[in-house]
Amino acid sequence: MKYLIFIALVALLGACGDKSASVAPTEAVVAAAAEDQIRGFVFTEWAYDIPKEDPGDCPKGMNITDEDFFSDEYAEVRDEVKRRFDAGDHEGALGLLPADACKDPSVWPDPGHVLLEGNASVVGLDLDSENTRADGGGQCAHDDFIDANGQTGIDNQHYRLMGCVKGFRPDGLFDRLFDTNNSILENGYATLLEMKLVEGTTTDGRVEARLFTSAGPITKDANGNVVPDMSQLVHDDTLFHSAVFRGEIKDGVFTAGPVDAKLKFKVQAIDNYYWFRDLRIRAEMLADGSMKGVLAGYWDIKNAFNFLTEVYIGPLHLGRAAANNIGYQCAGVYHALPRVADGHPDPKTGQCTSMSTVIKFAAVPAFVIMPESSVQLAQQK
Amino acid sequence: MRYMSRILIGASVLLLFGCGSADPSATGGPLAMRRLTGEQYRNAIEDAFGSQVEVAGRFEPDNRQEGLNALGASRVAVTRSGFEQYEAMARSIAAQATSPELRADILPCQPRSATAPDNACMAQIISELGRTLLRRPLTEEDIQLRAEVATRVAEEQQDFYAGLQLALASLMVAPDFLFRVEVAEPAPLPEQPERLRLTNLSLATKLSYFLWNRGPDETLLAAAERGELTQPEGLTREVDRMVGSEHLADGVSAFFEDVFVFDQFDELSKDVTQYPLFNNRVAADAREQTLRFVVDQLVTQQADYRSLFTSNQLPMTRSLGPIYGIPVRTVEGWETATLPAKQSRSGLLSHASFAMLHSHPGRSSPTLRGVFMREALLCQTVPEAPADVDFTQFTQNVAAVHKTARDRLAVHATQASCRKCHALTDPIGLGLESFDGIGKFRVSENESAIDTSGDFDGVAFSNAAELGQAFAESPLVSACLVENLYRYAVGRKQTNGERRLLRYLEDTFAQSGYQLPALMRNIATSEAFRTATAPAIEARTAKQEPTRTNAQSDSDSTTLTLTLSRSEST
Repeated sequence: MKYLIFIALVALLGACGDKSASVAPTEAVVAAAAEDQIRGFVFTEWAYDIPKEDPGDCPKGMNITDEDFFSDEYAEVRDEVKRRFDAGDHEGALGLLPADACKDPSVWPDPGHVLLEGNASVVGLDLDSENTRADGGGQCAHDDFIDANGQTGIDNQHYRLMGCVKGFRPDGLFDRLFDTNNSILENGYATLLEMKLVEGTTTDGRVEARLFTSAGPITKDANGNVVPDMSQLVHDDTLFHSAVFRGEIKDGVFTAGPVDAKLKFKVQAIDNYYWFRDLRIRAEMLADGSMKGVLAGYWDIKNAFNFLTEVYIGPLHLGRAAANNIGYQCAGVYHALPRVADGHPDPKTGQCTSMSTVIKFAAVPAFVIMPESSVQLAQQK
Repeated sequence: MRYMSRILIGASVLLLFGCGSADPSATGGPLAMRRLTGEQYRNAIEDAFGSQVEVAGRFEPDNRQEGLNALGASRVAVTRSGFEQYEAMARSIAAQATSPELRADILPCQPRSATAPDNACMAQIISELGRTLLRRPLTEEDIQLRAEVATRVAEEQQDFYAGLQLALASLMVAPDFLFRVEVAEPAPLPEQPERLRLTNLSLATKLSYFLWNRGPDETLLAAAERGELTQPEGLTREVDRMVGSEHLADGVSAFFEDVFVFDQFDELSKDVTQYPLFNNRVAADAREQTLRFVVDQLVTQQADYRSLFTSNQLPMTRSLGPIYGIPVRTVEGWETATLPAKQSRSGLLSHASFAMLHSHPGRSSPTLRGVFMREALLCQTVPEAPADVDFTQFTQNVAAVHKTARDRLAVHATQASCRKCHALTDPIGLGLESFDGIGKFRVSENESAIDTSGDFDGVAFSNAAELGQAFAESPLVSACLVENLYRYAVGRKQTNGERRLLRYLEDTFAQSGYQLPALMRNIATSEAFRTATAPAIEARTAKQEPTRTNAQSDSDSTTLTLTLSRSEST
């Protein structure tokens, strides 16, 4: 069976090169940025905050996979699955396995899912302006984290959900993918940010901003890094254009939000989008014209489950193969999501529908070009 | 009679130039045969067979003389390996042209049977395509020899097209195809037997390669066959037609590509650790950007030549946007962009093409840029560097001490053997130091501010835009353009006897508002362009027979013996 999984996951793992060096925009851009009313950026890094060393915050051990959970069932059909898979009967091979909760999470009861414990140090923002505890009562109660600067109240329930999944641990799959900026550099989509100065100066002023997904992959330079000052076309689909949101630049720090945003993301066999609600940005504006910081907001949990499970290579649904490789069970995550959700309670049930999530990012100057078609759509609206 | 001849000539000159002053009498230089450049070869193939036929192969390197490949074209031969390349290309092109997919579109007739000879059709194809390729009507002998061989092959192989391929390939390795062979006849001036005029067909070829960088079209060939190009009215009519043609853009582009030494792009490389933005696409776009800019300004917009040095608009691609620091909406293709004023960037001198071409692989070079400006744009001569120059000041490891190029060159100029030449090149070269080794704008080098101020022959400037303005206002710049264009047109350096002609061309260029097409027209219709001086020996016998350069006739052989023994005296 491992052979089957290995085949399916070759594309997921891929080859991971050296971490890309940071890019250095020219002084011209700095000068231009100091004068221009509108500034654009293209994201060069996009990553969850995965610790580089095991922080020892999973005392109950790591989550297991369907392959572990159904080890006997897998053992019984392993040879036949391999034979069918080798013969090209992929659906037939997968059909021999236990029911796939990654396709339909209702086929299995909750097998359990190990959550990260404690309030480890993670980057992020205090989204709810509260220091909360899981035993504080209410369906959306959760334990906050502390950041490296000692800031309390950091909300990051996504980390609590996935913190004890091996793919999210040091040197796990996602750690490696993010380290190499695979999602940005290897034919993925780029996230674009445009900010327009509406009052004050570019070092101390109010801005209006928008987030977009790019229309295509970024352009790399000869060293494999994102080219700064490149013109980046915005995606035609206005679904991936955020509304205008307000922000400010003060003391070299850009803060903005909240805003709802759907941002496409592609890495290997994952080709989906994030649906963030009440997303906020906090980033340091660096002297070379670039910025570095976090996006923090609430990730819709239905979208999050879809994001994790809708994994395809061609027509072949490989959500379970991905889960086996990353280190969780789809059924377990499905049932755990409502337990970790801490945002946007359903008005009727009180059940939270989103989980706080933090994305670390870096961005360099770029020219954000709106597509003709989307402009027309906006005018029609 | 002699008196009447002069009257007729005078009348002709007036007809040529309307009411304006006539060009000073100047006898052209010696006859020459010039090897087609790679681009000219491709154009010839396209004219004969259409754009569907691919030309795949390597051409022998051009020979740059006096700053122009056009001058070296008459001093090159075809080497043995070069001929093999020509032959391979000819066979490939012939095979494509006779392929089942293309033959109906390309060939003027189809044989009665594809498996048998068809003499009439074979002769028609050879005659019609050969006329385009050789830029002249073929003789009976030209046609028959090829048709007989082709027929024999068609019979033996039972394949009409196998024979035709051989015939077509033979045309494409003929000296009259690979070389533009000038042929002259005695000018109607008995008192000047050494004075020759190009035959109508030779003049047609010379005109078309000067104005279009390609062979004559059917209209021009027909006019030449009717003998109209040696008549002022006919020449004027054809030159005006050609100057008004869309092909003029090709001719203008080819000229500036030569002047700007853009063939060096083929070997351009950069240290990607220093310039990670550089790649083949960027280099190709930078080269094309400048040529598009020139053609747009001078041909499409009919702008003043001097505006090339001040215009802040230029064609742009997505890949060049980061170099210029400007947004580019078009994903594939070109759009017009305006250079940002904050970069003090305008005109040719600030183009990325010049910056990257006249730099070292890992750093900019004010000296190389200065040499280019002096030699190509001002027609001045900068002596070669002495052999004992100490270049250590320019290596990166001393950048910590001498942070900017200006600092390093100041040290370098303390050497007496270097000072004189660098005084010529560096002040203007340093004016472009705000553009790094690939043309990206910068304000500092090694964290030290770059000073772009200087003096161009007495005119102070503070940045590249002002240097461009100074160039635009310099009479040397427009005079150099005239000189370069004239030399390019006639394929040789101007003679002492042509100095007055050049001054006249400069004057009329200025009077036209520095319109390049007008200058090209004046050169193309000048007496010097149409005439030649006879070699001393030939002059004594050049009364009846046309004088021909020493290429073998192509009519009896498909091989070449192409060694030029006569050097041009300039």
